[in-house]
Amino acid sequence: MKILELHLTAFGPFTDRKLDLSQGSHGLHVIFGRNEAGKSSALRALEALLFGFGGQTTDNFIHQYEKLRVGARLRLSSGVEIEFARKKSPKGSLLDLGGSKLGDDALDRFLCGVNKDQFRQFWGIDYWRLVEGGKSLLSGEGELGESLFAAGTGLSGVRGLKAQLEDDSTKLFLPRGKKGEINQALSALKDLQKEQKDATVSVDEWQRRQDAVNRAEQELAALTNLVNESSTKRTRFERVKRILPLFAQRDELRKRLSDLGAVKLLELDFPERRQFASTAAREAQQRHARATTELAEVEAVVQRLGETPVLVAEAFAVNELHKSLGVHRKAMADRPRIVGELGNQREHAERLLHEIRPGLSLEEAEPLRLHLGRRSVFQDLIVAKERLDARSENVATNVANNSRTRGELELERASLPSAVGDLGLLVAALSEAKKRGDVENEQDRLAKISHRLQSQCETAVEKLQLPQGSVQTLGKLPVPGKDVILGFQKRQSEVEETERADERERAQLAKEHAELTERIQALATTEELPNEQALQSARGLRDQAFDLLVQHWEHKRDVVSEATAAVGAGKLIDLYPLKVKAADNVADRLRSEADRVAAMSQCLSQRKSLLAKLDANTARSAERTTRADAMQRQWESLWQPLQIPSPKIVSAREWREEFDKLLLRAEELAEAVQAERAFLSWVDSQMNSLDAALAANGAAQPVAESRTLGLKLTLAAQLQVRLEKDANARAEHLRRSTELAKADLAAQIAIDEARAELEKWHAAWLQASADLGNGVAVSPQDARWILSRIEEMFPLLDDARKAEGRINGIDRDADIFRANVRSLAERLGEQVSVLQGSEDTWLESTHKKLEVVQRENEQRRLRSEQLNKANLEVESANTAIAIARVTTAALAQEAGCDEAADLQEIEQRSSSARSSEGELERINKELVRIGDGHSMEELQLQAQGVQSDSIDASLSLLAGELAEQELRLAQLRDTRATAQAELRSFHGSSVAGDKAQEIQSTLAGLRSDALRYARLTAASTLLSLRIDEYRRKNQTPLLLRASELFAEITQGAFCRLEADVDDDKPKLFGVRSNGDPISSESMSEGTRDQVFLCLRLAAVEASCVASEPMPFIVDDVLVQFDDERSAAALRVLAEVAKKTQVILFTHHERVKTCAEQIAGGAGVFVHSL
Amino acid sequence: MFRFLHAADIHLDSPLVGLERYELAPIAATRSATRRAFENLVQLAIDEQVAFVVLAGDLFDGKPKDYSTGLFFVDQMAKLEQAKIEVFVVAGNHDFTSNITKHLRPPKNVQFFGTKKAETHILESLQVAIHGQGFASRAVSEDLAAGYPARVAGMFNLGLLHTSLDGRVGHGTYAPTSVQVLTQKGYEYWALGHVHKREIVSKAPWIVFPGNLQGRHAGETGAKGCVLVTVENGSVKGIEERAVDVMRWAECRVAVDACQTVNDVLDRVEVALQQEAKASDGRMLAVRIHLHGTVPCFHELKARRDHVTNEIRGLACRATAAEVWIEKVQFSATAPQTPSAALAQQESEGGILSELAGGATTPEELRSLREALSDLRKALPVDLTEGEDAIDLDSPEFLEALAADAREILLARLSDEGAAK
Repeated sequence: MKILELHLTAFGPFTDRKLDLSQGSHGLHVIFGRNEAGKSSALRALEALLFGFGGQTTDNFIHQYEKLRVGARLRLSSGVEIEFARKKSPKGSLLDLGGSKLGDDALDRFLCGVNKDQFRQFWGIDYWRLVEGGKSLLSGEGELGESLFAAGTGLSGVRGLKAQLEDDSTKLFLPRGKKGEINQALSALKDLQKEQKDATVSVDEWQRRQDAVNRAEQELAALTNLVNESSTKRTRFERVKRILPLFAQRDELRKRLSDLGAVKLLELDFPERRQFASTAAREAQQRHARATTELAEVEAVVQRLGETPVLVAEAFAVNELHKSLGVHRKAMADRPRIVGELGNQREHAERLLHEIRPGLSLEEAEPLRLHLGRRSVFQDLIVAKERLDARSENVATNVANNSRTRGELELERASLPSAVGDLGLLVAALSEAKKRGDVENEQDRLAKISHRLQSQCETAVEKLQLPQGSVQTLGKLPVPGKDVILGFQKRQSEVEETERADERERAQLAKEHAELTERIQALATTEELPNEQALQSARGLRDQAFDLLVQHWEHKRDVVSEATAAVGAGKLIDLYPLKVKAADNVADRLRSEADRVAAMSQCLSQRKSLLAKLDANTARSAERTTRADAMQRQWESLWQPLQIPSPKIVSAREWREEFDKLLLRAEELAEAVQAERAFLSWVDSQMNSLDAALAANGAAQPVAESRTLGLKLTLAAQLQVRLEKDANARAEHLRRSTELAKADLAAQIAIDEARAELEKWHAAWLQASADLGNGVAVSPQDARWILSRIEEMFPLLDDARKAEGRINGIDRDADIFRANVRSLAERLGEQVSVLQGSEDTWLESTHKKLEVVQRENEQRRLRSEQLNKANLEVESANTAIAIARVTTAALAQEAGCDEAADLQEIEQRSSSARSSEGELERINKELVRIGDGHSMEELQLQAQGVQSDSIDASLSLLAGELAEQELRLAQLRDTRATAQAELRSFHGSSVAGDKAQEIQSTLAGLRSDALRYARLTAASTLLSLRIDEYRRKNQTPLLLRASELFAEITQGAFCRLEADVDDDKPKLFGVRSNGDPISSESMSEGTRDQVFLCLRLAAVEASCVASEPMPFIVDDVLVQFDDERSAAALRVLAEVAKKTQVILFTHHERVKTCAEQIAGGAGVFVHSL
Repeated sequence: MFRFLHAADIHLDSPLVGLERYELAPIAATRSATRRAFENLVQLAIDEQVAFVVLAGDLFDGKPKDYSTGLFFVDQMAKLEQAKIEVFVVAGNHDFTSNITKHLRPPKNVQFFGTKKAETHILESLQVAIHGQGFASRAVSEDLAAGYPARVAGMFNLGLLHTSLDGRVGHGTYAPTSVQVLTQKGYEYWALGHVHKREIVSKAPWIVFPGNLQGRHAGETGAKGCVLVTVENGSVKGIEERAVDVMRWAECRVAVDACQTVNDVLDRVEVALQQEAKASDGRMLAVRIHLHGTVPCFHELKARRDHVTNEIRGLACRATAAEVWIEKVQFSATAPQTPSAALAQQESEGGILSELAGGATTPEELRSLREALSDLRKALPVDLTEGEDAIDLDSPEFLEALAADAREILLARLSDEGAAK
């Protein structure tokens, strides 16, 4: 494929740029572009053309994404052509000339399946890959396969890949190591398998443990039986030891009972009953004696007291009369005082009656009581009259007051101010004008702000060196944008950065150069070192001498002058051996001082390389200066329109920031000026409003000089105060006049009402007081006096009547009392007539007599009761004596004796027999209790024949045996427990299963690692094999072609490249024109790069033969080549361009010039961007 | 009406195979999986109050012969004894190799059938006759079923047998028989064991393989457990499958067609994993991911298989609620054959990379590979070099596959280098 035209329609810095690459059959097209001219962009455009734009691109700084376009016309070797454009789009990016979409596969047949990576890798080379290729020749120590492969495929990192594969696989597995992951997993697997084996419980082992448990249980059972037997024995001995004493006691008791013989066993309560009967008999005798004595004594006293008197029968009547005696005596004493009081009351009442109705008696006065019933009617009428009088008086006072007030108001009206103007207008104007506060201050503040901002802006303008007075036009100034400034700063810092790097390199190179020079001087000090040139020269002289000899001898020529000129003065025959010797000397010295020669040669070579680098460095420096100058010019032209000295690039950003601040401040200034103007306009409008309001209210205009808003405000405020005061006074007068009119009306109504009510009262009074004055009219004061007299009189009359009733009652009661006393006396047989008038005295004495008689009668009653009681006690004692006798007889009968005296002895014998039997029974019970369930007979049998003295010894013996057996038992239980625990420990444990699981996991990991290792090893092995195969297949043609190119590019310093075996490995050598093979390690860096370039070019050529050729893109690979070699390299590239199109991008003028020089007819075409 | 449980192929204490450990793998969940599944079975029997349980062989796994496994079994049987549930067992081929069975002392509720001839246990109260015969040797080649007794009239007849029937893929031939032979016996239900995949072979009579109790490797996918059989009036009324497994195996086939990048592939795997996890009934999952289809990022996928595998493991941990263990990631995807790809292939064959990675492996290369891997071959344990999934470093096919993988690695790494320029 050939690129006939490349259209940089809209890409990076390019707009509608076209490159015609159609010249030549394929052609070497050198595309020259200075720095920043877009060389790199053109390279990227080429890739975008063939393989599409990537996701992100930096080539949109002029043209937006959607506008990016590249295009081309391509031609296949078959002659098929395509012309198309490409836009930035993930799909459908290919367009035909009309802008219609082409299929995404439209380019496939032109690219022949080569993808972007392959294109870069194989069909392109740049400086860095060239260097890297050269380095790989060095690091591979010239290993032929790798070198050929790297150069042939463009894959210079193949050696690194090999090392990486080996490294990765070594991490996994080392056949004789331990650290590899597989090695470690294998070791872990062994451990796990052992652990699993250890954890596995075999059937046999489990059976063994089970047997051990069984055995222990059997032994335990046998021993337990033995222990039980001994234990039984010991129990029997212990029992016998317990029962023996009881059997002895039992025998003793039985003997005691038989000694007592036949005994009548009495009831248990017999002694108690006998004791009770005896005590009862004794006590009955004693009671009988005491009762008889007391009876005799009481009978004597009764005799002495005698019969009851008659007075006792009237005791109630005497006592009742005596009780009323006190009342009777008091009534008789009160009577004279009551009679006196009655007289006084009647006298007072008669006097009062006489005052109001002379001639009327007390008995006739009762009708007057009627007036008292109507007392409240009179009272109400009197009070109503008083109230009516007070009201009339009050009304009269109000009427007088109103009259006085009317006079005062009339006087005031004359002196009131009249109302003029429009106060509302004034108030509104004032309120509006005060809204902005202190007007003078505000005006002053706004002026200050404007002034300050103006001053700041002017200072900034001056500082930024902008034209004076340009504050208002700042926004229109063509100031460079921040991005532009940043771009310049970035470029400048890049330039500075490379400058610093170059300076460092220069210093380093200078240092190395000095060292080398020093070393060369040291090598050259002793004696000048022979070198190849010296040898050549010596041999040349020798050969020349020999030629001259031949000329002289064979051709008889005179060669003296030639010989003198060529080999010095003297005879030629002598000179020749001298020259032979001299040449031999140089050759000998070359051999003998080979080391020094080699060192010198190396030093010289190094110095040359250093000088080349220094040159390159200087060239870069010069180029940088040019670039920096160009940039500075661009920079200054950028600032030209501003007509100010351009700031430094480094400080331009600060300048721009200051400028931005100035812009902001200028805006603020404009706003402040605007605000100030608006304020002044507002002040004017307020003054006009105030003037109008003042005029409307009749105020005089202030003088012109003081026409300020402040003064107007003060005047207006004063006027407002005065006008408001007048208005208030007028309003007050009006209010009071209105109130007076209302008061007059109210007073007239009150007078009318008072008069009507007084008439109503008179009518009522006449009706009420008609009969009070006994037919004569009375005044309210008279009525009040008459009523008071009547009120005083009737209580007196009422009290007199009560006193008369009381006196009558006293007299009646006294008569009844006396009659009762006389009746009593008559019943007691007294002479009634004698009593007349002294009834109370008699009653008093009779009552005293009765008290004495009643005391005697009480004595009589008590003695009679004592007598009855004593008789009863005698009878009771007799009964008790009889019962005691019967009881004693019954007891004797129960005991089987006749005499009560025998009873005590019989009781004792019965008791003795009973206690013995009880004890016997207790012993029997005890025997049963401690006999462990054995019957009495069995116990007796067990006890028989046992000697109590030997029991303890037998027991002691048994205890010893038992202790021993218990110990053994405990041991056996331990054994069994241990065996059971061991058995249990196996029970269902999952350890072995878990280990098996771990083994499987480890195996799985191992499998995966083993496969990974196998794949890596296979990759590494295959790589080696294939590299070797490649070498075998391509060695001959590639080396042959590369040799030709290498001889060309080294201008004959090397004649070919050659493969040879070194250390059993095929290696690459460069062969000098004199036939010396030079290994890649011994080559200079530049030569190695050239070897790599030639191998690459040979491979590209070979590929062009095998398949459709693609353009070969070369990016500035000639950077480090000197002019001659650059020319040689260009010739080589032109050679390759016979097979396929070669496009060389460069920004080196030198390369361009070089290309132009060899252009004529060699198929080299130069284009400038 | 009564119910019974039919289970088989318990393989107590046999490990789960193929689970390579990695950092996020849920290791604890895999411990004693077969035991826990068996515990689930026992609990199910108790919860469902079944009349009895039949176990159709391969109770144990043959190796290693850890008696602890037997003791664990006895413990579980004791639980059933407490619940008054009888258990009937026939020994299978694995039980024979494990000598645990002979020495077991199970509780009285457990009946092991004899191995010399078929026996019958009668359950009077249920009117059930259970016929069975265990394996007397590791490999029983005769038709045991043919020798089973005639049906007991008036009863529900159940045949308990460990057999490969008439042959099942992936299972050895043991006690071979046929549906015809079984049918002729006239039993109502044949409780079979040996085949690890659940299968109802026939419904008249019922011939059932319940499958194994717990999947133990990637070949044993899906729910595993037993069947719960309901019998009414002397015939089977219904069969329910009941899962008792604690960890489930799944093969997750992910079509990665049209995936442009590895991230696209991972996105698809994430979706597939989430679906798989949902279907696992909350159990832990061991998943084999199988990437297939034609995929544009084929070379990247193959060359970065370790990276992809690790990413998928990470995904499994992050993107699913269940515990998921990625057992393996298999790559069988292919590169697309578009016209441009074909051209590329063509170019590649004659071009630069074909020098390295193209073409078939030559016999000489295979020999060299074999030689290069001889140390590894010596070091690997037998478990890895034998069997179905063996790493057979002597086999030309295996080496050829390795070489193909190696070529992909080389292609990718060299392409990376080209792309990096």
